[in-house]
Amino acid sequence: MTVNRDIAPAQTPEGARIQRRYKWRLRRADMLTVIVYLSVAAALALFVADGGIQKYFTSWTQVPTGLGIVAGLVGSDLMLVMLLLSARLPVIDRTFGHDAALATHRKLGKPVFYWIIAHMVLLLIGYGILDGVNIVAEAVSLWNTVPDMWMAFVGTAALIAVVVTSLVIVRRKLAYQFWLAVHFLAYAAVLAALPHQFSTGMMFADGTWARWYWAALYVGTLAAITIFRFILPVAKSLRHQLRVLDVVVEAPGVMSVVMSGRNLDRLRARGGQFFNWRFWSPGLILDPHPFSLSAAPDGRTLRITVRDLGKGSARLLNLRPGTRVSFEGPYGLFTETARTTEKVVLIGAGIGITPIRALLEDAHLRNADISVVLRGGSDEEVYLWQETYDLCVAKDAWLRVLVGHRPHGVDTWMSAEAYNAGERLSTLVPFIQDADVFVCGPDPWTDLVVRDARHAGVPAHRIHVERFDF
Amino acid sequence: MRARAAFLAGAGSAALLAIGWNASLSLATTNTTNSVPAAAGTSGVATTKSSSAASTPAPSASAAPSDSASAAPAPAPAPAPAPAGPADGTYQGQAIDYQFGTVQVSVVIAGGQITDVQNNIAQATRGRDQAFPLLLNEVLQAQSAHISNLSGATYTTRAYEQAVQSALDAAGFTG
Repeated sequence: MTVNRDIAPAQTPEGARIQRRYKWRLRRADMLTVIVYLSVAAALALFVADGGIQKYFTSWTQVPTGLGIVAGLVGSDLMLVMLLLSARLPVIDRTFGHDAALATHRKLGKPVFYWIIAHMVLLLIGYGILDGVNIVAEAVSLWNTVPDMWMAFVGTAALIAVVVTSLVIVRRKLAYQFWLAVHFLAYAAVLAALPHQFSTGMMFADGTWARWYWAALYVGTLAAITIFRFILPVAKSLRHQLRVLDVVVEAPGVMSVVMSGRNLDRLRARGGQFFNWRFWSPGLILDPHPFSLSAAPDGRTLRITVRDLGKGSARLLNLRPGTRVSFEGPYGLFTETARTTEKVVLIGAGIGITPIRALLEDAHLRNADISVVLRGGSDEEVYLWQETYDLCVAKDAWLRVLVGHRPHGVDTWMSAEAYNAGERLSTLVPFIQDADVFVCGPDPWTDLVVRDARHAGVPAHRIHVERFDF
Repeated sequence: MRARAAFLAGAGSAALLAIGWNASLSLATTNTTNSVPAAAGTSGVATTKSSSAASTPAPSASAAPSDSASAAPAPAPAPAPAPAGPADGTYQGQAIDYQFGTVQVSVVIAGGQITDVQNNIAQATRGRDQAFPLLLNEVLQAQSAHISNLSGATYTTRAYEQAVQSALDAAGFTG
């Protein structure tokens, strides 16, 4: 999760403004990253201040216990970081973007699991040495004699279940409800393990700084999750009273859903962002769907454009005007605010054109050199083509449309026609290496565009990607 | 990670750990002076965290439970001012064996108050010995052996209560 690097000299006031904004984002990114590292260091420092080194690292028999405690401290801290990353904190979304935060959340999963398991095993060994019994006997004795320990063991078992099922989910793409159940299990595991840290874990004993530190961390994390994942979305949904206004068929299997509500300008949604939508109609209400806006919000309506991919999308066709809609969002950094220069290249394929179109429409994207490249297997798969064309005219943007199949035997994101005519990213968009590049399309296609952009000399921090893989 | 963030994270972490280490050193020195009767009545912030010294077994001489009563001077019948309270002094209790270790304490009485509890033997497995400094505070605050249970250290609390009570009995201290 890195937001990056070099800042080119600014020329115009607009360019200077963009770069100031980017600099601040880098500072926020640095600050948040440093906080994560310091939180781990603080946990260890409190352990040291409590005489941890003298107590556990001056005699060999105590070392496993000491290491076990350290593993528990690090694991707990990173676990809280994980929870915060998925808590939809606005500052994290604005700094790293929702998808980058979730990617880091997923990446932390396994290390956290290993730390917690190490904590348990090392302490069982360490205590076993002190009591002169083996690990199993020690575990049984802890379960029986120490209050709250059985809950911690149950929590660990739940954690193992979470990790195993997560691996299965990633492989099989199981249903949303299943994923949800697993995550609730994870929260339950964290809560079950909580009491033993404050009671048995004399680390957090009454009257120590450590107790306050950890209590603050837990309460803060719990509050963040409650507020930003539950209270705020519900409050926003109630406040804006969103309802389906119209469902329009754009192309075979593709429809736009237009929604209206109260005070939508207060949402401060930007073109390119997405919401998790929950339509109050049979078969849809249980499944929130993440869809990007397909038009920049005008303060009165929101619009999404959806292709019939899964069961849920098909049911959208039958949505009736007047259907109530609740939502979480807006989320995402696939917006004009992410750019670092005055030159913008927007590249979209198929249904991935929809956020590109919304981004192009964003009122803050003005006085910029804009190039738009659209891609579709056939004419009618260049969705929202007419609207995008009109916007390009209005914004004085270059537009290239590549239609048709890819060439055989060549790894490219372009159509055979364009590729064989000698077109490359650098010929389609000559100024690309000085621009911010926004890419949205299917996963493998997106990877190829990113590869070509990197080849053309675009630094990684100027490539912005929104993946559409559902 | 960017260089600036890496530097700040590294320097900040090192600073925090250094502060922690420093605090642990001052903690060790407060431990050595711990057996001097602490300021009576005050909750004793410095002794709250004293864990390392408390965990070491006391020297063998005082560990012998046989001389439990000998250290206690008989309560001298004081003339006018003293009502019935025990005389100032240090009173040793019996060694209490329990399933996680052994506890033996001496209570220091001054002016009719419990001003300190010294751990002659304070052995307990699995870090339970960390409970002793906290239990000490409980006793000083309660001015009796009847203290509230320290969660997660129930057995240790009970053993400590018994050890303190036996020392108080030796002193004839009734609170």
